[in-house]
Amino acid sequence: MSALSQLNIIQVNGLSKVVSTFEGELPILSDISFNVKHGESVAIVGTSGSGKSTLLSLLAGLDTASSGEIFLDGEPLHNLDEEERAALRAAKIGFVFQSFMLVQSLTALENVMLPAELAGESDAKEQAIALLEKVGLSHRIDHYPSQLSGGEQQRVAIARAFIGTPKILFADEPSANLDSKNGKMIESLLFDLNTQHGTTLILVTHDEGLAQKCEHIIQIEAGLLVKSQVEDVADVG
Amino acid sequence: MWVKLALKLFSREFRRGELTVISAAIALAVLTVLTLSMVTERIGQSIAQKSSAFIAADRVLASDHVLDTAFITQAQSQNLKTAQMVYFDTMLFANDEMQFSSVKAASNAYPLKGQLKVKDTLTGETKVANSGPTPGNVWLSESVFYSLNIDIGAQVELGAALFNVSKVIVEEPDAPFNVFSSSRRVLINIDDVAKTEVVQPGSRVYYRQLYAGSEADINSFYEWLKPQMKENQQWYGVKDRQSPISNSLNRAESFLLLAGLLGIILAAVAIAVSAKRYCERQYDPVAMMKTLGGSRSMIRKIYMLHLLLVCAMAVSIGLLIGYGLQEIATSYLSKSMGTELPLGGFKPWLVAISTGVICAVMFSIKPLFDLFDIPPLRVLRRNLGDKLAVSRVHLGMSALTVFLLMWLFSNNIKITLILFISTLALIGVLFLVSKLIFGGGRKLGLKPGNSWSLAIASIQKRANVNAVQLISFSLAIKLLLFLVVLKNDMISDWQSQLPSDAPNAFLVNITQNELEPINEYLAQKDIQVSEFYPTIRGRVNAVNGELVARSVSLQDNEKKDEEARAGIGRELNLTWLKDVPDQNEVHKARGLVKMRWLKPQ
Repeated sequence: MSALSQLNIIQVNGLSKVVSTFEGELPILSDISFNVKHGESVAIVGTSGSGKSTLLSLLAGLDTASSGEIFLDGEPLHNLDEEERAALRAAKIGFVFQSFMLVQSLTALENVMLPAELAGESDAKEQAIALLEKVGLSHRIDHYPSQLSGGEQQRVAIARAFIGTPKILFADEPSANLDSKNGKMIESLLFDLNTQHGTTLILVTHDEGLAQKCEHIIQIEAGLLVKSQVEDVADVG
Repeated sequence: MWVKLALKLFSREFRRGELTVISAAIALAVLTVLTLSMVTERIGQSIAQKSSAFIAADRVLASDHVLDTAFITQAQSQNLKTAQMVYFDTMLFANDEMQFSSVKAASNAYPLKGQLKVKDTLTGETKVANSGPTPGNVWLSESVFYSLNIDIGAQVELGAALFNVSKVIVEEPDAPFNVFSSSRRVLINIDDVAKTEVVQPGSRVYYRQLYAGSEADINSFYEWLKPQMKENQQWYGVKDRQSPISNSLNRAESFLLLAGLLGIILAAVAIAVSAKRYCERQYDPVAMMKTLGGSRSMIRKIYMLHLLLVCAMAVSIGLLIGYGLQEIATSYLSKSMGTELPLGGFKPWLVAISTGVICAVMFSIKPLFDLFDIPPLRVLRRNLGDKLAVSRVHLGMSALTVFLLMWLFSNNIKITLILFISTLALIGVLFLVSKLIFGGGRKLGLKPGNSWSLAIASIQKRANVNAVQLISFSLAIKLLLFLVVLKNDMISDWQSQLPSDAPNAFLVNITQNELEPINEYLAQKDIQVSEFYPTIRGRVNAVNGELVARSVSLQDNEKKDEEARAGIGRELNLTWLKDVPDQNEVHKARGLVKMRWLKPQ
């Protein structure tokens, strides 16, 4: 492993994604390359349909690229099968989504415990309680998602994202479904916890203000990387 | 670790509805199958036991000529149990009294089936006798004791022999049904027949050989016997002696069977719809679990455990309720039939459990496989997986499962095919109707914003789901109506078998001097009664000098009783009256008789 790859937690080389439609092949992302260092916060911005969520899905191993390479903490994500990618996510990645994505039949505590349980960790409960305390929801641990407000649900989702101390946190429009006050609170919580845990944050947003809070910005338009403030960018498509 | 998570998810999901519906549907299928199978099997076993008891054997060889004892030797060599009997009517004498009686002389092995019940004294306890009287002893029915004014220990004279009266006959397994048969029954040992000297050339004597054993052994013996049988010999078993009650019970069994099949179809539809809905609701949690690192194999294990738990729980509940229901039903039927029903075998349990497991697995496995295929990317693209529509394979598999279940339960391919094809046709029609209804709204031209327009748009959005609901409810209503019509048809059919003024009881063997006091007594009690009429045994040989007798072939003898008895020439119960009785109605007359009243010759 090179010194560069040791420094970079994410390395993306010539990444492309093409989907088949009735009209033929449709390029979603074309020849994207960039690197992200350990502990950095990066915002991926762009208009609707520009391909930013697709890029997030490829970086997180939720989908596979048509071509190109992705190294995640030195692991060649592009060479891993579905089960190996799942294992990698369990070990190194946390997620926060726009629509919270909590399991409705589990309580706040159980939702936070879920990634640790899936990873087979024995201290899941203790970790989850501590995280819920950090997000200010220690009094609502036995509540179901339907009994929580939108802001509270997103705080549970943030607590869940940090359980098992992931190296990378992917957040997809984390405040888009919230009112301004709750949105600000969630953003603040996300950055605070990110700093505390030393996690690398990859944030997809169309909110310029939120993007500015990140150390670096990648702008995607029509599947192309048009502007990057990420250091050590190997190539700009 | 996954087991803990699976159990936690299961307990929460169970409270939310769909799993309860799936469990209830499986339990319904199991309890329906168990209850109906057990009740029909127990009644069937009871009828079979009783039927065998009606002839005291599995098969009988009957003749009015002496039967070859070589048949008995051969049957015994083919593992069959055998007994012999001789019937004749004669006078019985004691204390200067005499009584015309029906004598049955039986070998020691009698009865092969059923129970011979006797009492040691007239007021004693009824008990089961393992065989008939030993030589020198005679057993009499209670009425003979009163007719001859004797008691246990008395001597009675039967032909040239004297017998010691040792027991009271309470019940014989092969007692005749015919109300005109003599109730004066006498049982002696077959070895005593010769010393009575009653059986002489020209005597009216009936001979029986009784056989019991496995169906295979009996059939094998009959194959040997058949070529040697003479025209005066008749071979019959319990099935050849079907009573109207047995026929009615067969119809009731068919109705219960049909009801059970319809129950299974409804349960299958409920399971299929609920399983699909349940799995669709799990798409997001599964996508999230996969995103958070849950492996495909772990997801599979979690949901297969759910299926196993639902299946085990529903089958257990179904068996428990089904057993309770059949106990209630059989205890009611036992009282109505006046007999204890046998316990039944393991087959109903096996069929019920198989039905539950097949229903649970076959109707939920495809939605479950779809669930395992949900990609983790659904967390970002929420519509991924929604296109996993009902596949043709799933439809075909479900239809095949329903068909196999119906066949397994009914064991009757004709009923299964009729019900299956008619249900498929109905589903097809309903599907077309639903397409017309839900598609037709588009052509109504309602303006956007109109409440009707919104409602129709909402229906159209969920057109397939709505079509499934419409079909399910229509199917349920159709099946229920089908049952109601069948039930009414069956009951009216039963009712038509008996006229509304059919008698409740018959009085027979009344002497001329008893007529007046009996008529007075009946009038006093305000009991409606028909005119008393005389009966006599006789044959119709000729009508106005024209012979009507015909010879009956061996093949005729093998036909059903009803057909065989239609022939004139055999012994009949005859009566004579001046006019046709009021309650008699002439529906049809045929042959030579054409409703002419015959003059005795």
